[in-house]
Amino acid sequence: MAPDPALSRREFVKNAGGLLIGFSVLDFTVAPQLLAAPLEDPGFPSPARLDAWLKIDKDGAIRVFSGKAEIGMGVETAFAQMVAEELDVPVDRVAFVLGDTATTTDQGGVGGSTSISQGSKPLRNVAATARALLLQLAARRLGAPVDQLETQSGIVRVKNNTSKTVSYADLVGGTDLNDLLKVSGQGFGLNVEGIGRLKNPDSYTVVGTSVPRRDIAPKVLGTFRYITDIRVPGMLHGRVTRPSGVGAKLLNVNEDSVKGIAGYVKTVVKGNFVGVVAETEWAAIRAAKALKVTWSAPALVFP
Amino acid sequence: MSRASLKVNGQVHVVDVDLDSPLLYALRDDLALNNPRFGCGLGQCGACTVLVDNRAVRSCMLPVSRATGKEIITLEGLGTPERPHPIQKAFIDEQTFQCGYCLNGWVLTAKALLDKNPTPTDKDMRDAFESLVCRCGSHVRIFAAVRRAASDMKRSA
Ligand code: FES
Ligand code: FES
Repeated sequence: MAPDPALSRREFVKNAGGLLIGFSVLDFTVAPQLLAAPLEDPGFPSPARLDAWLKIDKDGAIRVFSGKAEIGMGVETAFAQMVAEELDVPVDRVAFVLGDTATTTDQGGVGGSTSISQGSKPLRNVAATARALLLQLAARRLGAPVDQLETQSGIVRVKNNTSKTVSYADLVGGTDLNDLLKVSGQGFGLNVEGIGRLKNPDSYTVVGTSVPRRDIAPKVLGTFRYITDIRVPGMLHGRVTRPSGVGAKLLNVNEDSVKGIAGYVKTVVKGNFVGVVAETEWAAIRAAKALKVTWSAPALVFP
Repeated sequence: MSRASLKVNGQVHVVDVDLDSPLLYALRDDLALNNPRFGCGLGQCGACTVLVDNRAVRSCMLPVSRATGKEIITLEGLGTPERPHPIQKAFIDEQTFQCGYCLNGWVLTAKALLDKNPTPTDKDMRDAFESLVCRCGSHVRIFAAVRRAASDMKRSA
């Protein structure tokens, strides 16, 4: 079946070579060019660079890149609040690329409810550092020392002189805002630190407030794409055949038992793994059920 | 394989399928409609729900042969991002669901319920939702959303 061409993402083609996992603001249909590209390791962007985590576009939009993925726990929304807090920008100006291994740092995936407690640490530090760098740029631009400046809603201004302001967008104007960060830990525990200091929670205005979850409306409206919604040209379907209990060993597979099923492609056997591949999901389901497999007696039968 | 014609969300589609194949796979794999979802494949969870002639039906159990000539509605056909159905709006306003994988079943079953019974009691809802599964435990907000949808729809009726 043909993939929906409207959903192909040119950006991914440019970064071809990586295997795309996870989902978020990104659509899921993988461009054919990407599939054709060899799956060599593209290398994760280095976490030591600030611009591997955060970019400020010409129009002041903030793009954050994180190796975490939104799978229904609301992390994208929570991350947006934390970044908006430390950077002093409106929360809806913060967009994310999540879990794309070609363009995000390796934060070890998601698991164990650690995305907020651990995975957000580098994002907060990066946002605080970006704000500190912007203050340095603004000090030069506005001719006032950093300690005379304050930030709010994507703007730097001189305290007690509201006419002297400059926006983040004007300060960076699409050029790279960058700095070297100190990296510690890896995977779930990956952290980076730069010149920025985190705010005192007593001064929070965004974190701790309730903002709508970003993924709920697209889900209820039916436009959100889950991993199971990936379709690629020429895609086959697979199903696993399992024994009736734990510890059974594979004795024999009779492939002839399913050869008559229309759309059946092949049976895959590796050690004690048995699976079938077919052109349609229904053919795969039928073949997995019909395949004659002989297993040794299981050590433990499922209830 | 045979040709079957299916009327989905107001449009007639001709698909090449095994007529014994459950409707779910024709909708997902042949028509690229993502919202009828595979949860159990056994009629036990409701993730695959569609409306067939205004009744909430589990598409993993309904052979294509029994869906032809019927009016099939999926979540895609309920409302659009520009014009969400009042039930969708209520579920969004209540910020219902965590992962949302189950929501297709709840939203469409709520639609079938409210079409028949615009002022359901909590007991009516529990009966209608009897064998829908939500592993994330979003039930309290689901009930709040259906109550909100009922009152919104009454007000605008
Ligand atoms: S997938 Fe149909 S009821 Fe679970
Ligand atoms: S919200 Fe996750 S299963 Fe219902």
